[in-house]
Amino acid sequence: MKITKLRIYGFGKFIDQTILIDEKLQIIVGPNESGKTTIARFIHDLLFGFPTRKSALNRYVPKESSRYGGELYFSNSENNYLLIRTSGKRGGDFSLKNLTTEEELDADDFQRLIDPINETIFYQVFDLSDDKLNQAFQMSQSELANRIRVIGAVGSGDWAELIGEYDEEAARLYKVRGRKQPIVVKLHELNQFEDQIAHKKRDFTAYQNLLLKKRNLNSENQQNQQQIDKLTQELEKFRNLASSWPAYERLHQISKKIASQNLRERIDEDAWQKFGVMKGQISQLESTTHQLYQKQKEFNEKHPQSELMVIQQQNKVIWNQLVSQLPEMTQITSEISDLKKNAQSLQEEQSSFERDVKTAIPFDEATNEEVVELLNQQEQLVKNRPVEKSRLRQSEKKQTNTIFYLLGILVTAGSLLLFHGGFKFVGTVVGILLLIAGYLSTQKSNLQLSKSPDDLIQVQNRLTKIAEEFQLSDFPQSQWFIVQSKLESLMENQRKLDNLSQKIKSNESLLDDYANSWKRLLPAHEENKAAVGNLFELKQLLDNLQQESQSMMDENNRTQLLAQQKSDTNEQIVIVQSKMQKFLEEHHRATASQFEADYQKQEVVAKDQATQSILKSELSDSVIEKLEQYTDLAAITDNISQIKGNMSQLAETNQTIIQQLADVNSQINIMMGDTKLEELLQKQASLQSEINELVFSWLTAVLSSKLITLVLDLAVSDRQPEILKLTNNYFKILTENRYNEVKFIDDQLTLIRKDSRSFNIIELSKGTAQQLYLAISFAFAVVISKQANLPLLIDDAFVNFDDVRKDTAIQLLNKLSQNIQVIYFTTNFSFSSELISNQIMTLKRQ
Amino acid sequence: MKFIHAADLHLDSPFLGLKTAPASIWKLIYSSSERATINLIDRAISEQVDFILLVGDLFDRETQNIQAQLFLRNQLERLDEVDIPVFISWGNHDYSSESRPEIDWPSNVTVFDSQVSSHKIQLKSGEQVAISGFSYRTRWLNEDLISNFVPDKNAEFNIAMLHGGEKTGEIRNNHYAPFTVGELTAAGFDYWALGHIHQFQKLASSVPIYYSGTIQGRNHNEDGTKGALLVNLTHTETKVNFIETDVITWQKISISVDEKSSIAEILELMADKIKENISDKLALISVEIENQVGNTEETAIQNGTLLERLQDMFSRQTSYWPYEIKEVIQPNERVFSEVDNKFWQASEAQLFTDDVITETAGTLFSNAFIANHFHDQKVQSELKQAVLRNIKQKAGHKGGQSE
Repeated sequence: MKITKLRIYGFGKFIDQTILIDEKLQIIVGPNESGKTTIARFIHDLLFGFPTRKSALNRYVPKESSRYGGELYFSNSENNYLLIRTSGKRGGDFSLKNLTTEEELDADDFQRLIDPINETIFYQVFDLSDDKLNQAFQMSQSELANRIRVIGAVGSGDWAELIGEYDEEAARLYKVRGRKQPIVVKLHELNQFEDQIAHKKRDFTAYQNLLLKKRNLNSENQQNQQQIDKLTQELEKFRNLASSWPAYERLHQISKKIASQNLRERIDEDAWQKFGVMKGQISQLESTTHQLYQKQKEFNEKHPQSELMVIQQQNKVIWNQLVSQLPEMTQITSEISDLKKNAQSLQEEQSSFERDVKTAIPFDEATNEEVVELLNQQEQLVKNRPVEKSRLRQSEKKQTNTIFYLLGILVTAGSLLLFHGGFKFVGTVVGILLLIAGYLSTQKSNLQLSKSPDDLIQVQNRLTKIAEEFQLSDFPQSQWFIVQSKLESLMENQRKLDNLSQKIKSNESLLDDYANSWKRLLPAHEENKAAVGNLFELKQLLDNLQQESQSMMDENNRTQLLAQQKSDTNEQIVIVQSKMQKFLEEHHRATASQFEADYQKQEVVAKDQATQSILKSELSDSVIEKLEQYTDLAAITDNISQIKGNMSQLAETNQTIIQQLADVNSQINIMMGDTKLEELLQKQASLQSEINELVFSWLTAVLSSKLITLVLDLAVSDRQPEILKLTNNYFKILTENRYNEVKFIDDQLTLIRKDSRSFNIIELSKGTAQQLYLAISFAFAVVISKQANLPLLIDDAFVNFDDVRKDTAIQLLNKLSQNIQVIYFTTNFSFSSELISNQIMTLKRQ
Repeated sequence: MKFIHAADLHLDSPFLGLKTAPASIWKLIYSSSERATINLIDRAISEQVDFILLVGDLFDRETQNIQAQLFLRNQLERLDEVDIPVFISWGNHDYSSESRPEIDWPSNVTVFDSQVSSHKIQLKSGEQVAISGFSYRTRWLNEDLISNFVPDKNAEFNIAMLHGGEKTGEIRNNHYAPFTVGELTAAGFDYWALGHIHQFQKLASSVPIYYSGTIQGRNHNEDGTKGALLVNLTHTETKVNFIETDVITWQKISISVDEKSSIAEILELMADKIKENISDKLALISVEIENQVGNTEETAIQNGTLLERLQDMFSRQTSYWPYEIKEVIQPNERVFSEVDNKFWQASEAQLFTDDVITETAGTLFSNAFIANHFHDQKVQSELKQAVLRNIKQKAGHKGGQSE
């Protein structure tokens, strides 16, 4: 588009101002503060909208309350347009009219007209006012270079911004030497995890060491255990040896003993038996001899004659006499005792008779006959009189009467004493009655008595008299003869007794004499005395003595016998001894004791050998062999105690090892329980994921930035030739052909001077670089304008260039205006008349 | 004979790609490896297998996690109690350097050393089985050791354990006991138990050659069910059954929205789609948005608030956890209308290369985890798309008039 006219309602200092713009080159001259920038801003704002109140840009709202905004007339593609923008929201109230077609258009339509140019592009590319160019003079070489680079891209404003945004975004996420960015922070976190993990790995090393230690301890333990087992076995062996030692010693001794024995010719059992027999015989004989001898000796020593014997031997005659009398005397003694016995029994009989007969006197013969007669008579008489029977009854009656009397007395007395009242009276009466009955009955019997016949009474009276005479009154008549016989017996007995006592006396005197004889002989021992008194004992004594003498005789006999025996025995002994001698000779032994000794030895040896073989069988050969290495039991027990010592040491060591093992195991267990590593690993992995995501975002941003840059670069490099060409032209003009060419060599903008020397942009002087920047800016605007034609607003580009001549400037401006509408603002312009005066507008200071 | 072939337990490796999660989810994650291992051992015991092969990468040697090693030991002890032998060969992650003292494994465990060797065992049936293998001594192994695998003629069955990768391209690029399938087939073994690749794979039919895969997936590339192989081997046939052991799965779901969808609508759609899948395992979910969303929504996606809100909806349960939201659409409009396409394409081509990215990242790539992540082609293409989307959005904002 080409701007044709401006009509300012109110903008900055301008109120209701109309400004005509030449379609090719319009120069607006005016001092500072005359409004050059304002006009440039006006064009800008009309095209793209007023800046919002928040914007940093100047709003140029007119001071007085005039309308804000204005009109912009332009032509494009052979149409004329009118753009009006006044104050309002969102950049101002906008209207656009195609004056040629009278079509009302809207903002979108306008966009399409100027597409692809937007505000940013315009501002960056076409609007070289407002000290933009001057900015270039402030830039460093590299900034300048960069700007130059980027400038070639279409819409590079936005894109540059985007690049900037991406770069910012990237920088937010990560900076190589940054500290606060998330990626850095998280990488740091990751490092910490890795540190922790490494720490845990040290744990693992520690754990491995523990395992190693455990293994070593275990093997040590095993070894120790094996050693202990070995030692136990050895101990057992030694203990066995020790326990076998006594047997071994014994064996040793026995073997030695056996070895030391020199046995002569063997004596077999048979011979020994024979020998034994003979020896037995001999010894028996000898003992017999000895016994005999002893006996003899005994006799001689132990058998002194007793006193009695002495007496006997001294008074042989009398003794014998007395002895011979002894049986007689004994007889007499027994006779005496018999007699005494008789006498005794007689005496007893006598006593009983006497008791029986009391004072009775025996009948003489006459009286005896008389009595017999009388009794017969009486009997006869009584038979004839039954009353005589009552005599019998009378005595009975007498008894009855007595009973009556007794009863009566008893009852009476008793009743009087014991009973009371009625009973007393009754009892007394009964008692008195009994007394009366008794008396009466007595009388009766007396009466009966008095009724006996005279014969009978005579007889009875005689009998009674006799009784009185012979003291028989106490006896019943029936008894009289008995009494009499008793009396006779009495008298008989008495005679016998007398006889007896006489006999006894004579015997006793005999005995006495005998005893006294003995008494005279025997010593005055009490016992003898007793013996004397008692013949039995005497007899015993004599018997003893008899025995004694008998035995003495026996012994004498025996002594003789003994002597005989002795000599017999001796004979036998000799026989046997000679037999023995022969025997010994046969067996080549000098003496029996030797033989015996030999046999004993033999037996001992045999026994020893038996023991030896038993011992040998008890102890195996190997044991014996082993034991032979030792001189005494102490050596073995020393070994035992040494082994024990070793074992206990080992056991101790093993205890320590086991404790250590327990320790190690518990440490391992602690490590086992520690699950942090897994968490750490997972957290590490998760953190890595996070970081990767952030890096992804970062890379996205960076690559976005790079992509745009790349695209722009490509675009730039594509447009490069065109831009370069124009740059060349403009630069040549500016530098007055000092430089031949501007080109990109290896991505670097390079200038080739007239003398063919090439200069990197960095190597240029600032002034030249600025000129180059200017040339490029112009070139770029021209190139871009091919896509969308907008006017180039230039603000006093040449004022800083000392050596730019005026016509150079005009030349350049003309050149530019061939391709693009140029609106040039300057403070000072001395022109040549080549330019039409309507191309120049002068502003006065407002 | 029946045995289990498992590998790549990676007992102490963390889950990658998760940033935040509720504590209850973390708990499940922390315990997942162990639970998967327990599942494996449980199965071995219930199936009363004759033996178990663990083909490498049971741990990460660099991590040196005591608990993981002791845990495995305890689990192997369970097998010892029922007399199931275990054969272990170390892989490139848990390579064994003899100088370091080892855990005392229970007596049923045989560990292969760095020379190829074979161990013979007698099965309950009386048959003899020879198992050959070797362990890594360092983190890589460039040699082809297959020629050292020689079957034992006295055994009825010969089984080989190999932790490594197929040969690709130049030999010098192959760092993990490289082999060819042809070599394995010709070696004369009845079964090749492979480890190193974390995915169940069958490499050949004539001779059973299998990767068992890992027992628990640990990043979004290890999606799908993970587990081990239960092998029934007779002289006439081989039956290989995959047994599940994993307790957490990685899933991708896609939702289709448009520019008019509000954030609430998008969230609802996502949540519904997430809950469609019902299982007793925890599902870690990556949500992909297939279409272009509006600007506010786009911002919410890019600054993470959409994910936060989605995660909020799932923060009180432990069946699902959405851990990322991705946009998969290609920005189809040219952002720079005034610039020729050729500039654009040329710039893209020049910029989105590994070298430029590496140069740009500068010292950040000295962190291996960052470098590795961004060397991935997928990530780089995602980066490109993010840049384009980003620019488009910002340019849209900015140059509203020029749109």
